[in-house]
Amino acid sequence: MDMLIEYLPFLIPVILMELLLSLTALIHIFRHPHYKFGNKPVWIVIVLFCQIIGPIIYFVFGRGEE
Amino acid sequence: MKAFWAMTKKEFLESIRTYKLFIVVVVFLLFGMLNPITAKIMPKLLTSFMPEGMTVALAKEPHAIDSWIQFYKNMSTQLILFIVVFSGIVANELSKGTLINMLTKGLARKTVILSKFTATISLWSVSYLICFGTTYAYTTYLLPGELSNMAFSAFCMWIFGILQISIMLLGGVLFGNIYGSLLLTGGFTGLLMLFNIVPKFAEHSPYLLSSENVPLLAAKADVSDFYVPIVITLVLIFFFLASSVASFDRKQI
Amino acid sequence: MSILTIENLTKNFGEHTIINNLSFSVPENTIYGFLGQNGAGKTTTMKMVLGLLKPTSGRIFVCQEQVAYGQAKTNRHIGYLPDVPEFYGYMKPMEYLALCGEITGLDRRTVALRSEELLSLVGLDKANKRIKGFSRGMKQRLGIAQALLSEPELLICDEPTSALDPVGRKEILDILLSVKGKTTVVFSTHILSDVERICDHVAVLHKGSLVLNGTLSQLKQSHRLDTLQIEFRSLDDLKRYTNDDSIRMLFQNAEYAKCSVTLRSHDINSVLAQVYNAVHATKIYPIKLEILEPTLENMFMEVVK
Repeated sequence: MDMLIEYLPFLIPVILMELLLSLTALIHIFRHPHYKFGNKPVWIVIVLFCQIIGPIIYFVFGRGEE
Repeated sequence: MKAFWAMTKKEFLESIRTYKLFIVVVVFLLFGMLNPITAKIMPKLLTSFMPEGMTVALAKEPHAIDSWIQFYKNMSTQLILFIVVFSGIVANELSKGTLINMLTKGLARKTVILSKFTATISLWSVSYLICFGTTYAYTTYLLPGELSNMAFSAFCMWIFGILQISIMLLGGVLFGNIYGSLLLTGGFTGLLMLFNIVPKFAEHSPYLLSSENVPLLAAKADVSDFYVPIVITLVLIFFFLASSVASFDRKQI
Repeated sequence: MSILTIENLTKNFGEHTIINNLSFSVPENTIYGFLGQNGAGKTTTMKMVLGLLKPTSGRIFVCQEQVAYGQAKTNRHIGYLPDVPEFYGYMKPMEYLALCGEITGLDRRTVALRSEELLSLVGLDKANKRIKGFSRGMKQRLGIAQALLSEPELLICDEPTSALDPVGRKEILDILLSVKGKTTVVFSTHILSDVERICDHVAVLHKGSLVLNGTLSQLKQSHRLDTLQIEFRSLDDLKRYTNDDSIRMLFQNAEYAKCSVTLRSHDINSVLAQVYNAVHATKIYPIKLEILEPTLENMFMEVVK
């Protein structure tokens, strides 16, 4: 545990980046409710529970054009 | 020339507004930070999870090279991500027909390809630099150890990325869809790996540029071993680019 | 002077001949209606004019300059509106037009001025949002704006009205009519009333070649397939009249509707003579007898039969 605290200054930016990814994806999911496939709940779950990969998959494959 | 810059600018705008740049930059930055952190923490983490009294062979003091091993291992994955994110840059415009308005305004077809190439390479370079810079800074701070051929090794991986991007563009032009683009890139990489089985080919293969970076850092490989692969890679890049231009000129849209 | 000339154009897709030895020319400052059924080859012809498709044989000239496939030189004279114009959805209309302007090589100020002019002409001056949120009709109108940006000598529109509702169609036609005089317009369609509304010149494409070509009034003169409509007081009168021996032959190909009957003939005078004679003979008097103007629809139906 103290090891985690020792490296916290380095881990915080990492966590922030992951949060930034998830949040941006989440906001986009709510503001543009049209997807290439899937629906809102599915994308929310994917984005929240698959760190890094989830938002990437959403933006690359799921984000609707119109 | 004006049209070239206009189209290149348009590609940048597209990458920003369609979140492509955002994803790539954030992920590359993330990995840039994770590479040294993983190298630093992993051995300790492993020891702390081991049962009491058991000595682990792995638990040596982490060294700067461990961070760069992570960097080059992850960069291959990041390159795949980059290719996937940008795989639609030619293909989508062809399948959607957005280029018709541009081409019927007198835009030369080769300008389309060249501006897409320029834009993608620039984005790749910036993302790559971000990742490299972050890993470099963290590694210098966190991990001890001197390494050789730092810039050259990074350059090799960078140019290998350009090779992949140029084949991805060619795939987009030839097949007009994302799958064709990705399949050609994948097929080409598979072919490189296949050739790698034969030692004679492996010595000069462009694949060397993405697989032998760590030996370079550890001074176990010589810079001069990479001259021929680099030249071959440059020739291939030029060939793929020229083929893209030529085949796009003949394409019925 | 003709702005677009097509000489002996042929296009095959594999075994199929889509365009078969097509020749015509479009005179300056006209609205040229390019008619044809779906699949007649209208879009193919237009794409060849734009250098997007490669002709199997034949030559195309735009403003006396020959079109070369894959090259875009002649396209500087042309503004093109595709049947379904596709845009970069992440851009706003002004940004899109700015990009178009830069590609055409116009300077920034001119583009900004013309963009505002055109956007208000097509009624999009208030639509300051990303194009991905646009409706079909808005995209069509933005399509016209981008096509007119460089003040082209020739405006080519591929079925600009097919997918629109009546209001949208009228708006697009009005816009096309308003640019007449500055620009020659070639527009393809299968909607005949659109052609009658705005075109001065009509060409009908059928199975890859022209079956009708001329000004609207010329065509109506030369293809004078006159129509005579006779209406009776009752169905009984109609039956007795048409069954009279003297004119039974005449009514073999007639069209019946309620108490009236419609006849078509190239020689309307002899038909009229027979009809009047029969009226005297049978003492059955029609309540209405009218010669109808030839319509484009009739002509079209006749040539594509």
